[in-house]
Amino acid sequence: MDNWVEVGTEEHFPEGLHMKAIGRRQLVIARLNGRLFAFDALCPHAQGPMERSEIEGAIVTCPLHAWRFDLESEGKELHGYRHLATYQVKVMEGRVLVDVESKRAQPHAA
Amino acid sequence: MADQRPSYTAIYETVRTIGRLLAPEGLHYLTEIPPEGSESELVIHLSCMAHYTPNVPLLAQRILAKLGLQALIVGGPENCCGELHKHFKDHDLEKQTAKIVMSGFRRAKPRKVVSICPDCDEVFGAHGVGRYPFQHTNISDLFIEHLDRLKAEMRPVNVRIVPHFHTINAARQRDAQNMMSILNAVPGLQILEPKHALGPGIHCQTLHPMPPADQERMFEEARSLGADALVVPYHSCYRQHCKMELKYGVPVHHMFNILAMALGIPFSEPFKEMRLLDSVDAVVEALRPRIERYGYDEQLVRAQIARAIFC
Repeated sequence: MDNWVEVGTEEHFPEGLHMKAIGRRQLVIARLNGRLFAFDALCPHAQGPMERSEIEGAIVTCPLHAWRFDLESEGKELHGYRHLATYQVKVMEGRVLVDVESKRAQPHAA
Repeated sequence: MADQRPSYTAIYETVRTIGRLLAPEGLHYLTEIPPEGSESELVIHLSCMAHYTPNVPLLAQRILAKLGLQALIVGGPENCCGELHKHFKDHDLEKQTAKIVMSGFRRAKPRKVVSICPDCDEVFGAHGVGRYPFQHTNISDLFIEHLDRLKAEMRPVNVRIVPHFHTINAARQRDAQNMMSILNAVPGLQILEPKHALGPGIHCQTLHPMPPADQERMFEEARSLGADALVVPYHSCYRQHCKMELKYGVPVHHMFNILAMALGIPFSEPFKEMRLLDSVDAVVEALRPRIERYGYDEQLVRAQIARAIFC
C-alpha cells in the first residue's frame, strides 16, 4: 500500500523548520544541512512546539524544556526520555514525499 | 571552545549538567510525576536554577523529615516555571510552561506545593495558581507553619549574622519576615542590624544582580559589624554573594543552613566549595571524577561551569 504523501516541492522547504498539515496530522518538515527530515510537530513530553526547536546539526531541541532529539537516530531523546516520532521522507522529481504510515517512535527509554 | 549552543538548550543543559555534577548523595527528585502512585500531601518544587545549590532542597527535605513530614521533590528543567521564557519575552511559551508544571503537580494530589525560587512564585501567581486544587506558597511559609515544632528541636548556634533580604513587593516582604522569624527562633544566634543589606528586585538574579558597589558596601558593613556570616533567603542570593567570602572573610549561608545547624543536621555546600576554588580549572579538576564517570565533554563542561558557577 502506498502511504507516500506529497507535501510540496523542494523549493517549499528551504533550510530550517516548516510546519505542514497532512490531514489531521501536524508535522514538521526540516531541512538541516541540506537533508530533509519529517517529525511530529508536538514534543512527546509536554506537547511543546517542535517547529520552534533550536537546531544543532541534526539535533532538534524543544524550546519548552530542552528535550533533545537526534533525527539521525530516528528521533532518539538524548537524555533517555521518550523519543520523537519521525517519518520517512524522499524526493522524487523535485517533489517531497512523506510516508505517513512510517511513524517511528520508541517507547519511554528512561 | 565556548558553548555556542542557542539559548534554551544552553541554559537547560547547563542546569542538567552542573546539577548532576554537584548533586549530593541523597537528593532524589522526579522530573515527571507519574499519573498514578506518587501521591504526596506536600510537593517541594525545585526551580531549575536551584539545581546549582542542591544543599537548599536537600536541607528542606531533611528539615521536614525531622518533623516527620514526607515530601515529593520535583525538579529539572522539566519543572521550569516559565521564568526563562518570560526572560526571553516568549510569553506564549511562558504561559504554556507554567500551566504544564501546575497541571503536573495535580497528579500528586498535593495539599500544598512549595517553591524554592521567588520567580516561580511570581510566574505561577501570574498564571492562575490560585485556581488549582492545592495551596502554593514559597517554602519559607512552610517552615513558619511548623516553627513551634522546629523550635523544640533547636540547639544553640552561637553565631553573629547579618540578614540580607528583598522587599520589593508584599510576597518578598513576607519572605523577609519569615526569614527573620526563623532566625529569631534559633537560640544563641545574634542578629546584627545592617543598613546596607537590602537586595534589588525580587531576588539577586544572575541577569539582574546586586550592583557591585552595593555588594561591596554590604560586605564591608558585615565585616565592620563583626558578623560571622551573611544569611540570605534565596538560592540565587547565595549564588551571587558566596564568592565575597574570598575578599571579606564573611561566609554566606542560606537560611536553611542556619536551621540545619540548629537542628543538628549535617550538610555540605557543593556550590560554595566550587566557587571558593576561584578558578574554572580548579573546579574542573575537583569535578573530574564525575565528569569522566558521566562521559561529559570537558570543554563543554568548562563553559557550563563558567556560566553557572562564575557568573
